[in-house]
Amino acid sequence: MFHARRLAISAVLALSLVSLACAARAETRISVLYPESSAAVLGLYQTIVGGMALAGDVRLQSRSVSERDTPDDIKAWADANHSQATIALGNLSPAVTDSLAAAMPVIHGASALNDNDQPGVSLASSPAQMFSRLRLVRPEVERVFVVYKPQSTGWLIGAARSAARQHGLELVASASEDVQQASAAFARILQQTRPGKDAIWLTLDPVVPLNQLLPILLRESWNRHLVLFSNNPMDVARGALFALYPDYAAMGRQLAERAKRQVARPSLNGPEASEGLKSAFNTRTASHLGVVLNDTQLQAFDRVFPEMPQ
Amino acid sequence: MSNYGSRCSRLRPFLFLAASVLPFAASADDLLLMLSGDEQLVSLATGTPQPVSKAPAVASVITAEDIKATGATSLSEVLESVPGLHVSRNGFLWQPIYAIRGIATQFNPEVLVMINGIPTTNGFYGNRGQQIGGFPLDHVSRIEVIRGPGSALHGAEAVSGVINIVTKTASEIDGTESGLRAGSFHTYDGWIQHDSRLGEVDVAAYLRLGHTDGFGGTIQADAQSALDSAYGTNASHAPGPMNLGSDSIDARLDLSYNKWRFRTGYIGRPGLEAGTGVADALDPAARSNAHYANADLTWHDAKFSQNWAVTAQASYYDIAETNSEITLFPAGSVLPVPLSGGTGSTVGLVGRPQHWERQERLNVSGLYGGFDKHKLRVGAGYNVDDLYKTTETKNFTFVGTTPMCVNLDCSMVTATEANGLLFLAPHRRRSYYAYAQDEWGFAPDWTLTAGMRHDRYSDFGGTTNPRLAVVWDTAYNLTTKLMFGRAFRAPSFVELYTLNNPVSLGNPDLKPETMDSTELAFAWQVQPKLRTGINLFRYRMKDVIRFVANADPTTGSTTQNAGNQHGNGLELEFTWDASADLRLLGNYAYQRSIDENTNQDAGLAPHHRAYLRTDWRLVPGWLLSGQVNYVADRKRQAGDTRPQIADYTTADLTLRTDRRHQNYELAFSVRNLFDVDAREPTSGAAAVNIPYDLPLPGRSVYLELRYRL
Repeated sequence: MFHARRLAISAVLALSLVSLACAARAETRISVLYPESSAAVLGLYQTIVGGMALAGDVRLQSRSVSERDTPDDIKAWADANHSQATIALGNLSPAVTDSLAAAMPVIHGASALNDNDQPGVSLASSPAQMFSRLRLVRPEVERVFVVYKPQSTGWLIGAARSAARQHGLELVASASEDVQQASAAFARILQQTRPGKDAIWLTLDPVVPLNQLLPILLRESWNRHLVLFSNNPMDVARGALFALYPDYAAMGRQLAERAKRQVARPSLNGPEASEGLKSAFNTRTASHLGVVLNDTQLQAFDRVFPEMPQ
Repeated sequence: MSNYGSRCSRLRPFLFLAASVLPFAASADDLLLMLSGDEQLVSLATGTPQPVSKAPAVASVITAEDIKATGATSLSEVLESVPGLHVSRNGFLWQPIYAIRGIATQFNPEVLVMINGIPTTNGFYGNRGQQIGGFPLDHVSRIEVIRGPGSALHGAEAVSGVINIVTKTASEIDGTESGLRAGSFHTYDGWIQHDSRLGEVDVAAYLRLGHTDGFGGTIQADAQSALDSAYGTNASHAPGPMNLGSDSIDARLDLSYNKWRFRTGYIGRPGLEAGTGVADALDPAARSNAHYANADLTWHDAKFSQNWAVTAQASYYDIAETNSEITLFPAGSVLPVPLSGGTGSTVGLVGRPQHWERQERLNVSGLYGGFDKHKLRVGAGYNVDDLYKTTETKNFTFVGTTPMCVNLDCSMVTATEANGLLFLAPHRRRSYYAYAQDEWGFAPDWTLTAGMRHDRYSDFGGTTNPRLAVVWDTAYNLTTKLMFGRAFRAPSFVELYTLNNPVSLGNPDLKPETMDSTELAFAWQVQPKLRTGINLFRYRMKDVIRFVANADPTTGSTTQNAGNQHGNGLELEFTWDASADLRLLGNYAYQRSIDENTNQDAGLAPHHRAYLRTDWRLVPGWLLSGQVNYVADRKRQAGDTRPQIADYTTADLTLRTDRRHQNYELAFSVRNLFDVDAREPTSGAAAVNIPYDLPLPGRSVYLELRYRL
């Protein structure tokens, strides 16, 4: 009887030790790097890093990288942490990330990732969620126009094509090599749009010179009853119908999950779009387009413009 | 063909752009900030004061970030940035006069000031209290200012404008924040605010203690100066400093749980000095001691039923305005105090009127969204305003309009209703109201807002006030609004019931003052980073309450609905985000108001006012904010023969750390940088008694440190 009890206790202890060992083995050690920046930007990086901790089974070490830090310094720091992967936020020097990439997967985040081959999570919002929201607020839309540079956001448009099919939308993507071509592409798009049936999607692709184009697109979308939707909530404040934009804590978690997958499958390549999103909606533009949302639908948006005191 | 031509012309900019645009790629940091959805990170502070383009009113919003950028420390300072609103002063207790669109009166009851949507109006004078002094801003989330009438929704006093101060909730405070401020005139402030969660209850708390000696601008001559000349005495404290010292205690607590919210606040003003004195004679010894305590319990259910959002609220407000002995005319003055068998007194004219008031409010409102293209808002409420206690001790009474000692030694007596000496007896006023407002999208891009509110008061009867607004989204960047509204001001207890003061006797037969106002407003976003607004307005006030000489002038004057006034004007405003590090904003306002009794300019308020502010992040981590305020062309009131008061231009500068994620912030402010001699006009009897107007503070400096635990 005594032996049986001791045996049982020993078995429980052994099982616990095995589980702990397994848990320790499953934990992925991740180094997180971000460039030295203004306090406001550092605060956002910290939000992203805070989100990474929400992913299970990760051990995080994070630090900022200044211009004085050499690639060897950073490499030595990551090695000292026994890092299995590095998450590089923002615009870090390629010299730093390249030296790490030789030793471990480097996952990029907190930037637009305008590179089809760069592994990471982009600030670009999930096309599937974009189209789903478009369907919700404006079911009559049949076509979505987008202008992009294949070398920059080909990966996003590829994902968008299948998402569009799933949502019964026709995606008309105009490839442009430079901003002049992109502007000409928008001029052509506007000539073929149909009121109420078409939408224009503003991505983060730098080939679209939004600083100059946005006023024209806002005006023409208003006059032609087109839906203009965007990745940027500030565009909604200025008159776009809605935007989906990254929730930075959720983005951090997605980055950590991606890092874990990247460790398991180093061959994974290319960026993925942000899946944890916030949303903004413009009631004035909606009213003009005849878009009517009930209170529940409206409350689903994180920001509603224009903001009114009464 | 013509269609094609017009299409091509609209798209011409694209062709131009195709030839001219330069590649632009935001840096990763800029992109990260931009997509944060936080305008305060993207640019500098939120739009201030920005036209809120779709609201069926001309509205401005001042945010906590704006307040910090400008270095403003009190409500009056920050309101000066609102187009069409100029903050003048009443010398007695240095009360602010919020002169909106040319309507400037001594006690300023035509402006409704609310805290979290609950009126702060005191029944005594119909304004927000005599002794409230400055309202601190560290716990303010935002200030909403609506110019023009608002009685159809908000009821009494919303005549020339509505100011709603919204305090911070737990979500807007980051842990524990504290601050210290010190500056000119021995001004010291310390405050702490804190948020936490007790179980399921969100808690926001705020405490502030402050002291200032006041800037003490010199009054060259006062009412006693004239008496000194007439009687050969030397009793006046003028030339001498105004008495503007004060101590202050401010506390607020905000608890929210699920659909319930309980808020309470306390404003204590011990030791407030008398400004230029109650009778326009400097009175350095007078001290007021006031407190204002409020509490409300609010229940809000955004999903009460499928189509209803419902709010119910009970609130309480307790007011005590007391003081130590007030000397109307100082010791040493020889007043015409013909005592029977005596000669005259030189003890001065001394009085100590005090009053206590409490208010209870109950209201329920609902927003119904069940009708297609309509948003219906309905509400009803019941208010009790109880001036439950008035006391007075004094050494004088009046014979005709001449003051004389009550007794032979001119000593103090207690005034009572029985001895006929009390200035005002307790009164209790009940009122109830109901309103309905519908916002109807009657055609694409067109919205009609129509509303009406009926208020019924137990003392002066009922009043009905409609509102009508058509908002047209004219283009993607242009909104046009045409608005009409009627508003009313309830006669105050002082205006209705004052006794024993022959120069200002009350009249229980008064009706409310009313105002009809028509506005045409345009909100035009010229470019995504340049917003402008143009407002044109005209108004007519009727039954304005004024003191009118009695049929027998030796018996004094009595309040009457005797005045009419009309006016018109315009306001222009802009906000331009010139770059990520530079914002410019400004406004210009013009108004002309005519007193129909005299057919002359109503006076006091500036005809022209311009304001310009620049926020500049000159180096990373530092924000420099400069503002210039131009006040011009203030006419005298009819009968005031003094030369027109001089225009002035003042400049303020604030340098502040702009490091939102660090634990401390530091700010340095200089106000009235060039030490300009700026003055606000005296009016009424004060126009004679204080002939050289009221000086505003000269150059002053403030240092502020905020620390987040």
